[in-house]
Amino acid sequence: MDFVRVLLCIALAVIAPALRADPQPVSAADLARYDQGFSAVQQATHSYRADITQMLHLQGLAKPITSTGTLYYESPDKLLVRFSQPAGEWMLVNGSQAAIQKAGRPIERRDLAAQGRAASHAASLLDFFHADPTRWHHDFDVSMSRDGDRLFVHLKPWMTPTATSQGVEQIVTTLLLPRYDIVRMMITINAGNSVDYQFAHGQRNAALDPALFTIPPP
Amino acid sequence: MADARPQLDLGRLVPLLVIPGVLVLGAWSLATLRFQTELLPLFPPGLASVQTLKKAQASMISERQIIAVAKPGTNPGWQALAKLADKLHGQPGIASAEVGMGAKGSPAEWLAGMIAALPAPRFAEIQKALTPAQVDSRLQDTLGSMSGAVDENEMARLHFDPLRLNEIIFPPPGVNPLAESLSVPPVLTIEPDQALKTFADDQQFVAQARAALAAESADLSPRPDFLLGGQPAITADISSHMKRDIVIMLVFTLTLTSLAFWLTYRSLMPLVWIVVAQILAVLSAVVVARLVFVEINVVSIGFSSILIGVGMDYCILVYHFFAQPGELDPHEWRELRHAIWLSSVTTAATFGILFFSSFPGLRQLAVLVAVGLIAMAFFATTFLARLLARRRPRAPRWLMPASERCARFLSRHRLAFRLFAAAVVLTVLVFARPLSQFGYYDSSVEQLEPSELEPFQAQKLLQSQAPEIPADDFTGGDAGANRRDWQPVDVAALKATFTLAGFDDTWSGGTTQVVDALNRWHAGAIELAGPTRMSDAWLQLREDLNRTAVSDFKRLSLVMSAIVLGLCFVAHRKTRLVALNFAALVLALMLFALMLYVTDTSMTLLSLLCIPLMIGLVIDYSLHILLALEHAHGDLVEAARHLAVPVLLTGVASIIGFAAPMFSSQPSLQNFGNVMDLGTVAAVISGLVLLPALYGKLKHVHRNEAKP
Repeated sequence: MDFVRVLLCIALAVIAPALRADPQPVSAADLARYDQGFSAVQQATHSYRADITQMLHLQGLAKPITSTGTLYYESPDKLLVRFSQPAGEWMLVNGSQAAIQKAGRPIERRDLAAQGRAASHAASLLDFFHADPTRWHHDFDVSMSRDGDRLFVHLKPWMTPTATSQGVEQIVTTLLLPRYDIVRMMITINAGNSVDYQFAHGQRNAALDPALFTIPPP
Repeated sequence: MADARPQLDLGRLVPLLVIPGVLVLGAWSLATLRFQTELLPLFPPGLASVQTLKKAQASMISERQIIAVAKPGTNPGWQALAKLADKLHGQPGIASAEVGMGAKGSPAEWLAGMIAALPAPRFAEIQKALTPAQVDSRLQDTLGSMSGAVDENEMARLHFDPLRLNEIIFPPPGVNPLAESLSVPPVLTIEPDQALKTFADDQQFVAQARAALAAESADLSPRPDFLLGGQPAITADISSHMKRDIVIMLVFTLTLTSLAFWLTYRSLMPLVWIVVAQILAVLSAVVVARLVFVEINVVSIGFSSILIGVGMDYCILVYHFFAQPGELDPHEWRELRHAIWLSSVTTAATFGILFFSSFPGLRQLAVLVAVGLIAMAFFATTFLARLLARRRPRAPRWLMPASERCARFLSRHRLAFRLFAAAVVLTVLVFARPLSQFGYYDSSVEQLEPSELEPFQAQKLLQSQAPEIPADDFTGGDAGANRRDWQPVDVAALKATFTLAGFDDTWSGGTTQVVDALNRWHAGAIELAGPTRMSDAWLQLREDLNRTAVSDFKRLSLVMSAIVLGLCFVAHRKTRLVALNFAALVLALMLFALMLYVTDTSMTLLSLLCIPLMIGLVIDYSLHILLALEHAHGDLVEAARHLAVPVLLTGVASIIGFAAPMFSSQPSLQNFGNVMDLGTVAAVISGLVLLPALYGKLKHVHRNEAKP
């Protein structure tokens, strides 16, 4: 009897994931509707703040590397991720300037106009927040799927990548309907290397201190 | 009826035997002679700086690979280039492609080389960092440093060097060249799928690589704009430029010297024979070059214009002899032949002395020019003379009166010309100080390189992207002691430690390669340490070359002067005439120095050989003029009838010949042409204008004296 119970448990464990409903592709008409809806939300968003968990999956590493922090966004071109774990680290983009602070190292500055937006990971994040769906369609081949109240937006660079999509293999963003709250964003840099952001306590149009986005002078 | 007149000795059989041989061997030599495109083989191989540069260059440039360096602002980064490298694999002509830092070998070997040359305490730290406990601890730190802000460059660095050995080599704070080096714009190295044996192979491989890069990088952003470097690109580029240079120089020289000849003599067929004689002489030099050197440097192609320029001299003298009206005097022919041979032997000897120079490049030129000049004298006095004797040319009517008018003018104003000679000497003495401080010789070797060519631009870009290496880290370490002290690390155990810490082979690969290289170095299987500081070596090379060139110049100029003196004695057998030869030489050198100063022109390593060539030219002109003046008992008008036009035309031909290299793409040849033209002008003024005025027994000419 115990043996049968164990067997059933194993069978259930194997079969259960298969029985789980896959996200359904979104029709063209729905896609336009979601585009519109998300566009309206984005245009109304002048600032954003959320707690994030960053999981770095690197090819060849047995475990992902997890970090936590807070993301701040201010329209149109400012984004800061300030980490609490590891403390003291941040990555910032302000206009065409970007900077990274790694623990125990001097601040590294990058000129995105000269080096391209791929020079800063924060710039890739900013592009997502700033861009409305029209921009997405310009930079990416956009497809969507839906599972309940979760809308999955798949962005894949076109055959010839643009400055925005250069260096990215795929971005999958999970939005919570009907408010289009950002739940998760998985940026695949290349095969086997990806950064997975999970968002919590997101606040649109929160009052942000402008000093947050100031790049410290050298 | 038997001809009782003495016959001209025109060397009846020899040319018939020699010409077919020269043609056959010349064709074989041209087909098999290899052209060297590198700069370093031109320099004395024994110099420490040359050896250092050879080693350093070998670490930068592969014999077979093309290095594709993206221009600043167009480099799409490591990942994009890695993908591009994958796409290039198997494309026509391409065996494989790799993304890297541009140095030959892997970054691991570069890092191992740095470790090998570390000062002992830091070398010991490296050894300690590779113990299992330290490895595990450092890997945990690495995981920690990858959390937080995502820095893709930092991740790439850590992926290659997760133990952060580079921080031991260059401890923070301060420059971290390795860290910088791993974030330098990456380059592609492209391997051909076949052996590159000929210029055509190199050119085809470069074209294939360029086409494949253009096609496969079209979808990258930014789209990389590649400069192609590496030995195949250098060879392909220089060989194609060389072909163009040779064609331009030969066409230029032949066209203008022929035009000058035709305008003077209005004679076409003899001109063709002269060109054939010159080609035979050039081929003779090429045959000897093939037999002696097997390969010659591209800068030696300048020799062809020297040969044509100077060789025209002998041909014009021979032509002028046969173009004179009336019966030909065998005695005069013997004298002319004697003078041409003496002149060619003198010039060849002055050049031949350079064979004993420390510079292999000058040795090549010495042989080429010496053989070419003697061959030119041979073909001018045999092949050309026989053809001209068979079909006697006629000089234009205006030629002799014009020559005489010039001679009369010179005779009448000999005082003015003597004053001019005195003024030259006085100017040199008065301005001795600024003249002695002027940099007649520029020891920099950079200008010998055709730096505007793409492969050299690529090489410079590659070097500029490489991180600056602090001198202390290389001069402080004792590589020999480090080699002995290295405790071989178990690579398998090291890999296992990585695996236990959660890092797979892609993460441990860089470190294990470094350790493997150090283990093999310790075992004596490979060389890692050694001077790699290219910039220091270049500076040292400049000093070394300067020292060697000055030492060579002192050593060889004495021998050269002795040979010139000896040959002048053989020609004149009179001290007075030899002294006049030398007076002309000194005046020419003074004029040359003044012209270099006024035009702010410095000689390079290559154009230094203008000095022996100018000595040869001055001795050549002065020898002919003095012999003719002696023959005419000081009658300049009579001497000028035979010599004024040919020697003047010779000077013009030489100036044209030496101007040809100015149109080449090689800066070294451009400078050579420029300097040599100044030298030729000095030789013509000194030998043709000032020397007759200095001739003591010059017959006085009255203004209204009739033509004899």
